[in-house]
Amino acid sequence: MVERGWGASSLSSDREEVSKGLWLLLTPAALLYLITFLAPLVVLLLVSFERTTGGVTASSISLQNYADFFSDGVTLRAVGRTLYLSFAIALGCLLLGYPVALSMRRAQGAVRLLLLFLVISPLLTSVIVRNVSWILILGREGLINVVLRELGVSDPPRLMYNDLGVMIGVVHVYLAFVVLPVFASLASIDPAVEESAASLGASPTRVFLHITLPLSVPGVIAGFTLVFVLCIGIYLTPVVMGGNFVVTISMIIADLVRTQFDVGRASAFSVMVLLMVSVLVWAGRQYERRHESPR
Amino acid sequence: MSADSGREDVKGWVTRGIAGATLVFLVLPQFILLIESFTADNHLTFPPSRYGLRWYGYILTDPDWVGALVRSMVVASVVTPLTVLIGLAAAFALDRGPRRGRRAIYTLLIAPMILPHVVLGLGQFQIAFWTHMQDTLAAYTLAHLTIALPYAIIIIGASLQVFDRRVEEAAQSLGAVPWRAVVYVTLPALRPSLIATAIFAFITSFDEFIITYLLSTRQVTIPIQIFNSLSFQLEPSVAAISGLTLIVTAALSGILIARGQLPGAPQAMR
Amino acid sequence: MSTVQLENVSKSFGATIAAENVSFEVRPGELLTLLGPSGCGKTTLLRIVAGFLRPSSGLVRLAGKVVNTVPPHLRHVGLVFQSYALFPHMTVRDNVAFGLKMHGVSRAESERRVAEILDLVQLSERAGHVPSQLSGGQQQRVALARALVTQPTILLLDEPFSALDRQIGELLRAELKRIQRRLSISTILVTHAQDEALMLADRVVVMNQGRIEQIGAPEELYRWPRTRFVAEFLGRSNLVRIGDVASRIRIEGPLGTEPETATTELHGPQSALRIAMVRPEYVRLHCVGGATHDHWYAGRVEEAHYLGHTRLFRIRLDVGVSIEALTLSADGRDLVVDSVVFVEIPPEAFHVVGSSGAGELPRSDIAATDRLMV
Repeated sequence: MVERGWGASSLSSDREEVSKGLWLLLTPAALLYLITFLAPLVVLLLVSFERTTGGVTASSISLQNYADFFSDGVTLRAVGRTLYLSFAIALGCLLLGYPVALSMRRAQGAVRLLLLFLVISPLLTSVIVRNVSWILILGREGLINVVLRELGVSDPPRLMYNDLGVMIGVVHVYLAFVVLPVFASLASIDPAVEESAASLGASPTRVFLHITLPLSVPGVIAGFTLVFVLCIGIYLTPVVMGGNFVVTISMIIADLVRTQFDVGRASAFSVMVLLMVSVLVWAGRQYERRHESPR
Repeated sequence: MSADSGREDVKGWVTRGIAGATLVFLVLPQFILLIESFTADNHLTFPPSRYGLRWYGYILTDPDWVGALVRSMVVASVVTPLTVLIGLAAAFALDRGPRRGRRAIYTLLIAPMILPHVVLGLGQFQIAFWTHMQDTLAAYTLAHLTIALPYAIIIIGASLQVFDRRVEEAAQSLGAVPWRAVVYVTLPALRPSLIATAIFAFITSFDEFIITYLLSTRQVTIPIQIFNSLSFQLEPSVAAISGLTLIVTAALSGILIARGQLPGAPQAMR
Repeated sequence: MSTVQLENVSKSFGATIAAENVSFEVRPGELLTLLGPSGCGKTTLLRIVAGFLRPSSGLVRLAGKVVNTVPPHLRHVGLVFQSYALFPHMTVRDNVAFGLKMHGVSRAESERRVAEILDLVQLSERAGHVPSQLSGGQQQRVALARALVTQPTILLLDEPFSALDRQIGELLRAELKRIQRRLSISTILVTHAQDEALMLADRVVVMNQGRIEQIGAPEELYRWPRTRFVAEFLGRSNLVRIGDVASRIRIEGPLGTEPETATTELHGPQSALRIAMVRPEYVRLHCVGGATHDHWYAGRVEEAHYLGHTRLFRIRLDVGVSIEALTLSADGRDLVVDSVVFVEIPPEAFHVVGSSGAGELPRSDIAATDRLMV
């Protein structure tokens, strides 16, 4: 019998029954993931060692697919492009999202909820719908160009079919993933701490720089890492907003499957992407842990 | 003194300005789209010269579009209750289970949300291929379920974490068997998060593109149909269907707002 | 010139009035306590002095200068919160040095002053620790050091001891008083604990529902409360209604009840029905004797409580009033529930508080009453 205070049954047989019941609750999810998550990943790994040409399996154990990953210029460029875009997008989300999180923190009740809803709204719309909307704004006959033409601008800048278009499209939706963790971090700061700093002579700017910002770093890291990782896998937005000029690694993988039927190489590339993501998540977690604010 | 506070005010307004501009940035596209979807022109121009429900009528009668719409609705309707049930069970197990390994299981459960959908879709496609299940509603359902479940874990998990278990214990002390205490006390308290989960699940399924794209050959869902249409001209039908999707999801989100529960709202409410 | 002066300060939040027409001053080197129940407005006033709230009307002066529009970081006040509000991401040393850094003090000078103040609060060995590694009492001392090191015009403390265990709290209270005396720094302490106020303050401002009830030295407030609220808030009290019958005062009965007409001989001036207060420690108990003695009343013990150093009795007098009496625990050992007892209340123990209905009494009137009762 273990004394654990309120909330724990002190009869060991009761506790055993509870544990069994809990494991049972986890089973549906576990089963689902076995089929739709773990099995596919295992399959990916296995298939990645297969060489296929024209849809026919030539050999079953080969590292050639992985070699291709590192030797193919197009692929490497795509990886580089993807990483560059991910970083830029994450940074953009941070620069735009931090002020929004600050405003949310300052707002009360209904206003705060409204801001939250606005921030999440892109998430609640389809990726396709969002991109169509952006075409209507950034395209050649879109809102911005129409307005610019009215204002007499003769050579409007190209806002689509380039990196910028992709960045705009993705920042639009992933902003929420920065705002939420940063807001959570900010909300956990005791206002009295900031007031103390002010009473000690720190102007509002200095309070922000010395107190608020350092204490919000865990949220910043969490948000940045999350967006960065999510961006690695973007597919549709670069396709629609980037035309043929922006190629990401996901596009290459999708292309390998749908048009070239080279499942082996697609799988190998996928495994590489998974590795990249895992490394980034792990690195982010380490960084976050090191900057964990002692409460 | 006033010069200093003046400078402070400027910085405050700059911050507020950026925040405001960002918020406009966030909602502007949807706003424009909605306007455009009511165009009566043959092509999409800004602004429309004539307005009407012409293209909404088109998509609701054209067999390709209707088929895709029906398919999307069917899959989403199946995925939603399943997500809530399985997610509730898993989140509960996580919350009440041993602390060791909780972080690991949690990470595993929300992984499908973080990993690139292309990768996931590719693996799922291969399994579906071998089991001759590609292009089936069952395959779509399972795939959508997988990417919707993380939302359930996060939203319901957050609610469970702030739930005061002593209320449940009070029920037990009054004679309720543990599972009944949960049903009569905990579940009602979880209602907002269950509703939020349902809405997120529906929207996630309805809007999912890339995995469905990889799994499909002939049967298409709405996102795929839109995508295919994009390859040609940007027809107003695309705007109309996008507008319809937007209205449906906005209506559902409106329910969310009315219920006052959004992810992160437990902290926001404070 | 007073260090802090509030002149007719009022503050309302929408329809709620937090403070109404409050005026008081803090003299140089004095420790002033703002005392009152939750919601009485004391914390609001403190925040107004600190600059986090602007008064709806009235003037706030710091060292003679009107500071209504001056932001907190320019007021040079030292603030200690109930939750200490230490910077969790900085060491004790950096916490304390923060104010000096903000004021541009040189590194060498800053180090010297930080070391000095940490020595004063006896935390020199913990200088390199972070707040999460410290106990509640230690954190409080860091908060104090941090506020004091910049030599502020005034020290403001918002219920600084309420989060601590009783014993630590008492130790720290004494230490605070010592430090405050030594530095001779004007201080405002906000609290709801009346024993804390009585122990620490040079003067006390008692507040209730946004208004000042009374200002004065602790003993003055305790022995001669002007209103019923002050009488009941500071320590235990017996409140009775007094009526005049010629030159006698009758104990009419507990407040709010219909009087049982039984007269006793309490002398007093002719006046309307008034409220009088008797502190339980001035009620004397006798086991034997008769009701024929002057100022003696017969009764029975209703409740008897042992409080360690004292005993508290609740006695129902035959005239229908319940009176509390406090004795040293060495005395009164024989008095148990239902024993017959004789209560002696010397007339000078009564202090007239106000007419039954509220309101104050000018002090001179009370003194006259006291003398007349002899």
